Amino acid sequence: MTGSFIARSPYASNAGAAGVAEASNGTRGVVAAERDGLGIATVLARAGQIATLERRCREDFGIDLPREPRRAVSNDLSIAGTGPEAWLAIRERGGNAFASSLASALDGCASVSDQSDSYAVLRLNGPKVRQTLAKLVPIDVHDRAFPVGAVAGTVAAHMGALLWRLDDEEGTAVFELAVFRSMAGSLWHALASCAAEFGLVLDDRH
Amino acid sequence: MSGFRLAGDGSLERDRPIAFKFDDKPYQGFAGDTLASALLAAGIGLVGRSFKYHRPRGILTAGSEEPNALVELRTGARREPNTRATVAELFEGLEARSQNRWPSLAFDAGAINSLLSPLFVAGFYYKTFMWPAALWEKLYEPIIRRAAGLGRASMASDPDTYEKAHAFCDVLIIGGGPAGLAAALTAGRSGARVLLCDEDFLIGGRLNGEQLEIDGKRASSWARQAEAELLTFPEVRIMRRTTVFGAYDSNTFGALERVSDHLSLPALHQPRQRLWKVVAKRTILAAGAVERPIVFGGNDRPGVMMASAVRTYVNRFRATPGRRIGLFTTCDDGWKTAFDLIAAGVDVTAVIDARPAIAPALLTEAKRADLRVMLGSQVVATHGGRALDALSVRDAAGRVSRVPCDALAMSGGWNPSMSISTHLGARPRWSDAISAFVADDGTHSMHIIGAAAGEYSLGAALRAGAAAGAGAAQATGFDAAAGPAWRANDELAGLTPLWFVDGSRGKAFVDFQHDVTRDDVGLAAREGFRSVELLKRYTTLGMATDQGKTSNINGHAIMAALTERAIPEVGTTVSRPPYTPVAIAAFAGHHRGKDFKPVRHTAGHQWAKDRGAVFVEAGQWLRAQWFPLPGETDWLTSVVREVKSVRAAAGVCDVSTLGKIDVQGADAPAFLDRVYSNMMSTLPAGKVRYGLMLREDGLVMDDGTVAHLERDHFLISTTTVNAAKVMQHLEHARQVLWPAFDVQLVSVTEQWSQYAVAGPRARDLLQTLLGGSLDVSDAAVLYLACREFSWNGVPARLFRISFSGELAYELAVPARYGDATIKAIMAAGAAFDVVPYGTEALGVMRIEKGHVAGNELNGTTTAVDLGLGALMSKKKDYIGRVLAARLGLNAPDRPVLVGVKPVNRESRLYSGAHLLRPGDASTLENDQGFITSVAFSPMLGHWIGLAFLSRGASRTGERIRAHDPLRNGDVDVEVVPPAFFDPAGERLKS
Repeated sequence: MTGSFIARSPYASNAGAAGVAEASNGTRGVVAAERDGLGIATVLARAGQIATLERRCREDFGIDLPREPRRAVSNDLSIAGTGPEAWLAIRERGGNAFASSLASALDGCASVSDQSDSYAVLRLNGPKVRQTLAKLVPIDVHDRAFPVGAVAGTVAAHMGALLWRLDDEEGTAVFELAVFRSMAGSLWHALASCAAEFGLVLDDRH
Repeated sequence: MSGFRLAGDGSLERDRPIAFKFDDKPYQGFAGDTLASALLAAGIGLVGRSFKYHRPRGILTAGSEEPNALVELRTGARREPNTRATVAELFEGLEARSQNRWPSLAFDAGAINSLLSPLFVAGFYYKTFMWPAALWEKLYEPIIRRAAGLGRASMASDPDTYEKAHAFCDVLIIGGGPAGLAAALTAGRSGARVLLCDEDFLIGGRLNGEQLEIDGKRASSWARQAEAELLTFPEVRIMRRTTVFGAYDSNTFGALERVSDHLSLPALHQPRQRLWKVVAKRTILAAGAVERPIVFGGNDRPGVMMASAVRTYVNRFRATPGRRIGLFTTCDDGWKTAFDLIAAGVDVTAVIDARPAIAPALLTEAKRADLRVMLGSQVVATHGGRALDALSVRDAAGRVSRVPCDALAMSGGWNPSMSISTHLGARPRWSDAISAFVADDGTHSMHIIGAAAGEYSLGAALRAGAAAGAGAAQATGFDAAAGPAWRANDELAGLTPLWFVDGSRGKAFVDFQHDVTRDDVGLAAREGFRSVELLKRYTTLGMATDQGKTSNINGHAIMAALTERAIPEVGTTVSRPPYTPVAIAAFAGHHRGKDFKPVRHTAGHQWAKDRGAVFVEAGQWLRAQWFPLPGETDWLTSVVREVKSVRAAAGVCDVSTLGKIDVQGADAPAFLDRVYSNMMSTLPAGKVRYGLMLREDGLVMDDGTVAHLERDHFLISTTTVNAAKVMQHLEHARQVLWPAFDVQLVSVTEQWSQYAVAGPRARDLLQTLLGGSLDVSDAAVLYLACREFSWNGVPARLFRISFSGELAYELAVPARYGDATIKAIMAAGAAFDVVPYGTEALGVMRIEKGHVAGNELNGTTTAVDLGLGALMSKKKDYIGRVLAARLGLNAPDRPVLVGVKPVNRESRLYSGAHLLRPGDASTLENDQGFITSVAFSPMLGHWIGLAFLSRGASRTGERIRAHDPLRNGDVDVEVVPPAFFDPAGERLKS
């Protein structure tokens, strides 16, 4: 039983050549990679417990809890401000176990809910990533408006979305875009439509 | 000069000839031509027929204000009507056709309308069709619609794609002429993010169309150089072929980029057009000005053209509209056309200036050019058939003489092009200095400069551009300097407006596109439609797709003269977006067809699809409706089989789409007590309770379950379609009503993939499936128990709840394991004859059980109506409690939930049928209620229904009529309790 009990990617139906738009000249304007295995949890402060929560995040995780739409990172853990006294915590390869361990760590000062499976997260970069995002989300992703670490709750092609910016890689900006898992197919289709002219390639290294 | 093409390059690429067709005949132009310039160069003066009178029409302008030269572009599905030839960029293989003519452009049967013109005067719609009214729709309107009209739509699906994009900038500059370029250079040099949009495919505006100099250089070369410098700034973006068509709130603008309209076909993955939403911190409007026609007899004859357009065709496109050209002007600017024509080697037959006296400098230059000058003179008529061959000119002494010419350039002065500034409600103000309306400064943040602000000279435009560019950059935090001034002439701009030539012979057109004449304005004045807004509606002045860019001011000024009022007193109309027409497809972008809105798939979707499931939309979700087996051809067969299988053995249904909300915090129990009508704080950990939520007005909002997982952690469920609404409602309650509560809410709908396993063998199936992970014996997991456990190494949850009335559970796993879980359930269930079932079988089973769903929770029903009055707690307060006590909601004759079954068991029931007493007439007064849900019950073997029936609770056994005149008429039904199957509920506790 356990042998066949395997996780299925929200993008499983979209993978392969059918979902990827190759530019006529073979350019790699946008490189998309699915972020698999992330441990994701919403962290909501308990009433009156914000100071305790901040202290525990600092002491236990070495993270200064961002009180604005910004992302703080320490090792493989990141915490993004998504609303008043609301955060999204992400641990690389954390899986479903992450939320329960975080809930224990923050017991009494925050309500933690596992969202590891709620979001389909794409990592986007490449020389044309900003031009593509300009078609996908209605917010300004220019370096001056959306610096490294910035976070935004926005919409992508009529889907509620979270967007954040990671450190640059090889001189180009890197973003991660999260939508609800059920909409992964629609998001991928929208992304492929928007990125097609620049060339969209799927990078499965991530 | 070869034909009508002049020597020299202008802005053409002479080494790139382009073949195109107009009305099926082949012609040749060059890269850099518009369709209009290529047609003129080919000697084509007649390009279309007018809207109402089918008058022959030529090309009036060289820009987007064109009212006459409307053509159909392209063929087949890409055919686009009403395209302005003056802005259509020539491309290889372009096919254009004239429109609104039959059988041909030269001979048009519809031109008879011109003879019937007394029927087509202003307001003819209102007058002609007074009687008999019966003929309006069937006779008059079709005739009029056929006679009056423009191009034909392709009627085929648009093969092109369109997209939408967002742009942000510190400074948006609308218009890439001298003022816009100066502003862009100044702002761009400071490092500000600058977006420069120009509707033309060549940056420079009038710098390309005029013989002007800047810093001693040809103005067109200066424009190229400015563009090249702008392209070196990383934060400056130039968007050619991009029309800013509307101004919206919060410094937001709509712009249309014509990405591929200048190509035969869009390149691979390229849209045809892209709609931009631009958000700017500061905006500079430098859209130039539109030249005013003069209203005189026969002013619409092909060959009569705006003076500035003639200059543009000659200088930029090296095409002349004629070989012997006359000029009719009331301003100094028009004279430039005569001088430019002479410089290009074209004969100018006469300069007719309505002003009795003009600047001496002009006269000196005219003498040097040996021009025939007629001062104080006016054109009163034009002659020729489909092309101009002579003018009748009345001189200062009143003598009328004939002046031969094959084209006439006219200039009545200029109107600043500032309609974008009026989109947010600013009213233009009359300026006596320039005899035109200008934007009223200070009403909003947009800065208007150059000709758009009525500063017509090149020198003034450059100075204003530099100042505005520096100002906008500084205002957005950049250190901008106006920099060295560009040197250019301040041209002569004298003007004496001439709104109408008295004593004109023949029709004198005000609005060329809508065929509104000076006489129509006169008629409107006589009949009392004197306000500009009434004039507009009565005559259709300015209501065509050109929005009256060339006609409004003339019409309003004529109205002022006719009613002996000053122009400011008459006023002018303002415009709405879009500045030029925008295809609806551009607003849709990629959201067409199946991409109209996002689709939500459950984690088990692919599995269901592989099983051949038929899907139904539930909000944005797709849910399996039923799973047809080979040989099953109608839905009822599949659904009956699914229901019987579930009730006989076991079935599994994907219920992941139901809303799930985590409710946590010390005050979670108190919070739940207030949002549900029934008591929740007494729910022990490990238990589930059905809950009912009321709206503030006392009516039922939604129902679902509350599971107490542990300590202060609850999980509530909502119906699929109300998930977002309930979340919003609860957030409002948390944030606004009771902010002091320690309660946290978050949607976890997407986290969990959840399957209902139902039927007498459900427990055995689950025990086989879960093995040692969880003991699911009745003693361990009682009805309405919930458990969290670990299964296959992942967190899982089991809820013993039932919608079907069977022994049933819901198993939840993280969504990434949803696919594996349904496969595991089916594998384990094979021994228990498990079947997958869809929403249809789910619906049948809930109707058999008398459970309410969306049809009953329809926003008009109370808990008591639904038979759920017991869920309205009397021990606590909750949302909706007070208003649920309203008299009307507690009237004894309110329709309440009952079951109905047909007396003749063969009869089919229909939801929507109204209930009547036997023998009562089918009137509203006799209405007793209506059927909300029906199903063929596989267990009972006949149709059953749920209904709301007045005083229904006490009418069990009564026979009434289900009246459905739309479908099957009357069915006699028997009133029964709503639970048809297993009314005691023994099965679910078995």
